[in-house]
Amino acid sequence: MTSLAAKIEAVLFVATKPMTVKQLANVCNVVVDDAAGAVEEITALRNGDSSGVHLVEGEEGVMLVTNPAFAETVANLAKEDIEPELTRPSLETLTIVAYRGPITKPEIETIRGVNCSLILRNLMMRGLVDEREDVIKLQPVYNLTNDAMRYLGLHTVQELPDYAELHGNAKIDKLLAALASTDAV
Amino acid sequence: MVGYVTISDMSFAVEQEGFSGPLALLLELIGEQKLEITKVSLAKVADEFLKYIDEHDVPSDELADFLLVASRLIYLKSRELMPYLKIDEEDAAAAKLEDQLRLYQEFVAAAAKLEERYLVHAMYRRPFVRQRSIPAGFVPAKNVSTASLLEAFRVVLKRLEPFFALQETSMERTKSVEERMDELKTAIASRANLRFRDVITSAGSKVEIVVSFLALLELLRRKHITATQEHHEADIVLQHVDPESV
Repeated sequence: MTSLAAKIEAVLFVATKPMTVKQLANVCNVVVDDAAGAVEEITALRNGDSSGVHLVEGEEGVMLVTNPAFAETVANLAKEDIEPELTRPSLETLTIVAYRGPITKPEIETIRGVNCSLILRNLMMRGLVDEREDVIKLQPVYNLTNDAMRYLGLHTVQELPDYAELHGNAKIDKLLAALASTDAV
Repeated sequence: MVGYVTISDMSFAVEQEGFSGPLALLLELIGEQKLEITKVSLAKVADEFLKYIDEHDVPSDELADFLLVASRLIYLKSRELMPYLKIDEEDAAAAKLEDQLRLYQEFVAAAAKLEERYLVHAMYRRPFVRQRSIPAGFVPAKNVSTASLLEAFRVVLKRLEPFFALQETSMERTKSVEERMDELKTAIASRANLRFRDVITSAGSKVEIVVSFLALLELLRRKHITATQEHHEADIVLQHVDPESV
């Protein structure tokens, strides 16, 4: 491991929340590209069977977590207050956010065909979904939190089954745009 | 009536879990009859969809969404019965219902896969807690300034714009029905009688014709005017009712 990668790993170990690559670069006094390279290096080294610690990279940034293979062993010790129950509407909404995030509320509602305000608020309160202001769309967009990724055993959202099929599908983009225009009438 | 029994069974589960929306109901209805998602199959389940809305308490915040889907189903069904009936805007919207349902179905399938993963191979992190007591007092964040407050308020206003626009149009419409009623009442009162045809031709736009018609119906209901027709296809004559003669 390069010394920068080792340094970043140390920073992540004491970090009290997910760190963005930009924040890591600031802390370590290096340019963003170097920090990104170092994160990649840690990922390649850690995210395998032979490491107890893995790296999760999501919209909120990067964080260190335990190897998913040891979930059972670690679960008792970690004693996290996770309510495992997710209702069908919540699960559907979470799925749409996972595959299509960052996504606006009208887009989610177009896919589900129903108002999703309450469900989104509930998912946010439970720390599964995060809201941020989109500078261009001038409205909030929603994405999966790093915690939700941990619960799903995902190092990145790209690990979701059929992610490319549902995320980058031009047909879906076109349909969403068309549906949004009819609903506006 | 097998389908009906299954729907009521499902509603029990739905009540416990919370509604999944009109598309979930549609998928269920089509799935029960083992149909593919097509315009024809959508038209087929229209009645059952309406029956469901009728017999169950759909939450008020979701009712509009259910009714929107219902209106498209009714359109598809009426097209089956009267193929020559075609409204371009409605046709496009109804055609999209089919695509929308297919898209929704894909995400329902994805949700099932997500559920299988949920909390099965969870990864744990160190608890992100650091005990540091913050002294009580007024501690504004560094980025709070009059300029940033102004900017934040502008963003809020900008986001509210669509709502303001929405309210204005709906208020305008209500007002014009009332206005049109007054106009028509004065017009009918000022002369012996008025032909329905004149009312329609005096209306400027399609919306105004509808508004005029609604206004006339309301005036009839309130018994301010009467409408008579000599024979079929003759002009409908509207007459003012003198309140003292009633």
